[in-house]
Amino acid sequence: MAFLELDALSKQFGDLTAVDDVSLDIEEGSFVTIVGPSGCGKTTILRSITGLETPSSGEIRLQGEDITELPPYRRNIGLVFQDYALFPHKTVFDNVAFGLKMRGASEERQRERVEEMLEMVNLEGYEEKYPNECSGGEQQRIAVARAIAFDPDLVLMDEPLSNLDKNLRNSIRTELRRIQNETGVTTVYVTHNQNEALSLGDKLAVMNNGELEQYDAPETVYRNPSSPFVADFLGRSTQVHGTYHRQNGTATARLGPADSGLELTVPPNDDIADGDEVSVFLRDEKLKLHDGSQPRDNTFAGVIEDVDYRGRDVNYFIHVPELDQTIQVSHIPDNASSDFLDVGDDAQVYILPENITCLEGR
Amino acid sequence: MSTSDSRLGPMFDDLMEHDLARFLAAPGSGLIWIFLFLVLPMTVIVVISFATNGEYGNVVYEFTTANYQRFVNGQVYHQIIVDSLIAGVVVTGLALPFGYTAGYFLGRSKTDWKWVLLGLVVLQYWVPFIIRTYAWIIVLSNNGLINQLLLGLGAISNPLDIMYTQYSMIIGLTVSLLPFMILPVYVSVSTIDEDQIHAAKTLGATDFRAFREITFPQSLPGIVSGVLFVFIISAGAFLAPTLLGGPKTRMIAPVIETVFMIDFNWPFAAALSIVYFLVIAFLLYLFTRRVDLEEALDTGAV
Repeated sequence: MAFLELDALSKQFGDLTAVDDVSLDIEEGSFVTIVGPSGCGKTTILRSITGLETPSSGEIRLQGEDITELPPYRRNIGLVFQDYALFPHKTVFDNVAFGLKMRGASEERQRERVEEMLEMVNLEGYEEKYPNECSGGEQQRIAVARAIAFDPDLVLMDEPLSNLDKNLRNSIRTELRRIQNETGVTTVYVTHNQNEALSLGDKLAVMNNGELEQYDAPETVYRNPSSPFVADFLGRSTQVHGTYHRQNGTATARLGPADSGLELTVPPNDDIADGDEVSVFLRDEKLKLHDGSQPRDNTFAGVIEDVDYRGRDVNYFIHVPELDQTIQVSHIPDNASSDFLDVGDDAQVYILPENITCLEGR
Repeated sequence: MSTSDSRLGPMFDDLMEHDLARFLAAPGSGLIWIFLFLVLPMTVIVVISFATNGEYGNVVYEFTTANYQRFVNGQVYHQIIVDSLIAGVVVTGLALPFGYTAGYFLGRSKTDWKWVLLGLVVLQYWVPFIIRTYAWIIVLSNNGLINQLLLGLGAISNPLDIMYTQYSMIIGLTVSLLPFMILPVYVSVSTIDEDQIHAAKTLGATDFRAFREITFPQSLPGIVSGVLFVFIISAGAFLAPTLLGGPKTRMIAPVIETVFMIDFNWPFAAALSIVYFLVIAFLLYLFTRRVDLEEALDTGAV
C-alpha cells in the first residue's frame, strides 16, 4: 500500500474530460512532479487531492483511508498556490500560523513553529510585515512556509515558480528541494516546465489530455520515453517517420520519403514487428557533428540551414535531403578548435544507436 | 491638414508643460469646484447664522449669537436632532444585515444572473425618489397592499396603523437606501481572490471560519462606506419623513425647511444647519477613529 494512492481517478467538466482514469501511487517522503502542457489535467488532480474539487469517479486514499469525499478542512494537506493566495490583511506571522491556529495550537506553539518555518525559508524577522510589503520571491517562500507549518501529511505545489523571473526560479527551486529534504514531507509538485520536472522530483509523472502517459524516475522517463508524446515533450528532438526492420538481432529503421532515404541502426525492440511503422526521435544533444576523422555508424549528411548561437551551445538546423526534413543539432563548441559552421556549409551528423528512441506508430 | 495637426500637437504639449497650466488642469480645477460648490455655500450659511433676523423675514447683517443661544436653550431642537440620529441608527442597523447578505451573495456568486440582479439593485434609482416614496403609501396605508393581504389571510382583524408613523418612514428609508449598503459590500467582497478562501480551507478552516477570518475582515471597508452612506442620508432625510412619517415624526431636515420657508427665519435655520453639520462631523470623526482603532487592534492581536 502506497502512502497516497490515486485509483482510477476521472473528472468531467460538462462534456470535457479533464482527468481520464489516472492511477498513481506516491510513496511516503518522496517528491513527485506531475508535468504536462496546460489543460492536461494536472491541476485538477491536485485540487482533487486537496478536496477543492470532487472527482467524478475513482478514489483517493491517504495512508489507506479513503479521503475522496472529505472536505478540505478535514484533510491534513498543505497546498501552495500558483499566485500564492496569501491573506493580504494578515501579517506574515498570521499567514504562516493560520493552519496551526485553525487546529487550536497554543500561541506559544504558534510562535515557536512560525519562527522555525521562517528560519527555514530564510525570512527571519518578517513576522510583522504584510504580504504586499514582500517581493514575489519572498511571498512564494511565505506560501511554502504556510503550507508546511501545520505539519501536513502531504504538501502539494501548483506551479509555484511560474510567476518568478528565471534567476529567482532557479534559486527557489534549489531551496524547495532542500526544504523537502529537511522536512521529509511527501510532496507533489505540478508544473508545465520540463526543467523543473526533471530536476526536482524523485519520480516524474507525465500527463497529456487528462491521461497519465508515463510515471517513473526522471532519468528513465527522459531516456526511455514510452510514448511519442513523452519523447516530444521532454527535451528537444526531431521526429522522423519510417519503418522498422529486424534482421539477425540488429534492428534498423528506414526513414525518409518512401522509406528509401536513410537507414539507421536503432535499439532492438521486441514489441515492434518487422515492417511496422515507427516514429524515430533524434534528440538534439545526442546528434553529434562528425568531423570525418574516424568512421561512424549512423552517419548522414546535410546542409546548414540556420544557426542559433546560444552561448553554451550552438543550435544547427541541418536540412537532410535523404529525409527531406530539417533536423536540430545542439553542438557544444570547443574553443581549442575552430569548428563553427555557417549557413550553407555541409555537415556530417551521427548518432549512437543507443541514443535513438524508436516508438511504434506515427 | 497633417502639418497643422502635427504642429498643434507639440504646441499643446508645450502648453501643458507649463507649471501654471499643469496646476490649473490637475489640482486647480478640483480646488475651484470644491471652493465654488462646497466652501462658498457653507461660508454663506455660517455668515447668515451669525446675522440678525429682520422684521419681515429679511436677513440683517448685524453680528449676533442669538440664533445659537436659541438653539442651546431650545430643548425641542436637541430632541429633534437626537430623534434624527436615532432614526439614522435604526435604518442603518436594518440595512446592514440585509445589505451585507445581498452584497456578499452578489460578490461571491458566479452565475450569469449576477448582472441582472445587480441591475435590479440599481434599477429603482431610475424612478425618482418622490415617486418611490409615494409608492410606499399604496403598500403600507390602511387599505394598502400589506393590510389587505393580512386581513384577507385573517391574520389581523383591524388594519395595522403603519402608514404615517415612524415605522412607515423607517421601512421606506431602509428599502430605498439598501443599494448604498449592497454596492460597497459587493465591491469589497468581489475583489477577494477566491483562492484565498480555498487556501484557508486547505489550512483547516471550515466554511464559517474561512468567512470570519478571510472574507469578513476584507469586506470591512465596504461595510464602513455603506454604513456612512446610509446613516448620513437617512438621518438627514427630508422626503421620507415628510411623505411617510406621521405627526409625531420629527426629523431635522423637514424642521429646518419649516424654519426657512414658513417661519422665514433664515439666520436661525442657518444656525440649525451648522449645528447639525457639526454634530454629524463629530460623529463621523468618532466613527472613523473607532474603525481605525479596530483595525489596529485586529492586526496587533494574536
